[in-house]
Amino acid sequence: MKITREHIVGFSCIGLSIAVLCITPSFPEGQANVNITGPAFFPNVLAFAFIILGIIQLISASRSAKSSPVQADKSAAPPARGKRMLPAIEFIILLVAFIIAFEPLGFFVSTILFLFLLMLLLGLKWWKSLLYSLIYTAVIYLLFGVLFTIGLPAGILGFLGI
Amino acid sequence: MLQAFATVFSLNVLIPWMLAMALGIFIGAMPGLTATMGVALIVPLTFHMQPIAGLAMILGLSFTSIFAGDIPATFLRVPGTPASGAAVLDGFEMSKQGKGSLAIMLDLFCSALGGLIGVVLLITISPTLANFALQFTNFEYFWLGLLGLSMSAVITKGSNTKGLIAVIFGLLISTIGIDISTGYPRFTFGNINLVSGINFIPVMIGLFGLSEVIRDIAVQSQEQLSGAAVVETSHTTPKDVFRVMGRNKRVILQSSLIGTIIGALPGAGADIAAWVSYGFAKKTSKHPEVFGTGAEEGVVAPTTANNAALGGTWIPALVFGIPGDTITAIVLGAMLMYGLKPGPLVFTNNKELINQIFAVALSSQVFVLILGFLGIKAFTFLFKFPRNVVLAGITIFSLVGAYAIRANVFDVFMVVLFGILGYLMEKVEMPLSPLILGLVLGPMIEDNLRIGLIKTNNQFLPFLTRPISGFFAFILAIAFLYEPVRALLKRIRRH
Repeated sequence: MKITREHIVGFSCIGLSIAVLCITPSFPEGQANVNITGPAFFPNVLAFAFIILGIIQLISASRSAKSSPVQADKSAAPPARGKRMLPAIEFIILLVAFIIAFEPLGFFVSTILFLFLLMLLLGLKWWKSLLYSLIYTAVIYLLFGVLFTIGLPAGILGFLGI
Repeated sequence: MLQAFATVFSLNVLIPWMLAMALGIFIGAMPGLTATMGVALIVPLTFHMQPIAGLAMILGLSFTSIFAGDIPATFLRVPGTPASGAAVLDGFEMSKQGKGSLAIMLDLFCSALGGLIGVVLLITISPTLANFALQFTNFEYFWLGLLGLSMSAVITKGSNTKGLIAVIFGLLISTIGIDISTGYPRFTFGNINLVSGINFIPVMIGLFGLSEVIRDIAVQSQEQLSGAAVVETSHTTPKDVFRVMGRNKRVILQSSLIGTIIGALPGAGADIAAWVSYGFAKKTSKHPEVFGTGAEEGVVAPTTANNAALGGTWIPALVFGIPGDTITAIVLGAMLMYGLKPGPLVFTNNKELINQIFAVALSSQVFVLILGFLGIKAFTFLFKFPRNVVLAGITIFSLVGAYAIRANVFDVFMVVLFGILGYLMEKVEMPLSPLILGLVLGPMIEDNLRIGLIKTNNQFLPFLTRPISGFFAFILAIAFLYEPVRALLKRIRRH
């Protein structure tokens, strides 16, 4: 039998519940040593419900995989989208890089760089990307930094005293 | 009352009031800037004014921002404020079909009308309703939380199992952080950012906003990305809007009522009101199957209810000094600073001020229409830019907006994490909104259940035998059994 996306959903539920059930025994007990009111009670109830749902999901996944293999295949790998995954992954890498760089490099440098690279990725010409990233950064700075006085990190431009 | 109107239309009230309402449009339409945050930002400014000017600013800003949150929700699938979460569902679908202009104009008129009904209810029934809500104990709040969750089953399209999986996952996330009863940090893994729990605003921005950007980048070609950001919409005349509203009279009335009542319950505000009334509209609709595909009722219900809820939140705030939501919590603080003591005595000692508040709340609805219309014009102009430029804008506003909540990069990380999760969930056709509901209602359900059980020495029976509590349990049972029983009866009749 082929493992479809639907199976993965079921397995993830069960996996997560087991993880929760492994952690909760380390929680302290509730008042008067009654577990029902302790901090582990609610997560445990949820974890058990999650296991049951995971099993139901696995059963229905196997059923639909059996009854209509064509349909299951379709949901497993839409061929048209396969090639386009790369930009999305590049986008996510860019996002993570932005988060890491945000405080060390500061708001201005990291935001302009991030927007410039993002718009290049989205297919804009380099000078347009540069122009829009400067405009966006200025607008955001005026709104968040000046109007709402939210302290945006200065980073390596800290010496300018912005 | 006439004198009250004369006072609030004097220039030293009118000018700050209008400025705050215009600011509200802006704050509401920006993801990450919520109505609560807007109110918190202007309160310090109001200390130099007479109380009614300050209160007019707060009231006006909250009404416009709750409406304006629906603008990006409709056109970009990014809820501008938490209260617009439910407006995304059918509003964005309509917009994709080129009916964005109708959706947002419908939204505007429904917001103003819902707001008006909410305020009228505030003026007329506030003492009775607040009195009722004051009798609620942990038992009632527990059921109320579950009732809210049951709505997620209703609003889900497609597989029920996946909807439930999303709810439970949301509830599990809500258990992260300090346990209120014992002070024990749960599932924090030594990470200091997790101690206070996961803030639901970054989660929402990620699930709905960023996931859409990821999807667009993954699915669309570069040519598509260079096209206009929002599908060109056909022009809408007020006549069209009124015709649609006429068709949905019942939904408007019902949603205004639900919105006001939920708003009046402490701890539940415009966001929950919108979800519940959406679920209720679907449940009572003749065509529940069209919900989620761009249904008029699906736009009318949440957008009417979230503005109606604002009137409701002022009921317990004014009558008993208990906040109905986070905005009125700030209002109560501000009123104390003005030297006013909210509570039953306000109605006798400061009768004039109460009348002025009512006058402001009533006339704000007219200004919501005018300023809202201008706001729509301004934002639809922005949406004419190429899609890739707008996508970059959505991304950076989502990220910096999340940072702005408490100047913490961790929240930005959450946006990205839940953006990826939302993208994956949509790939397996799992609905996103139940997760949000679980996360929002989780603490309310858990705390009230546990405190209730401590009170009863671990007996569950009192949850069912108290009159109001039992009534809620009964409604919940009906909500769950209604569909299966109806299906069963249909089958029996056929045979």
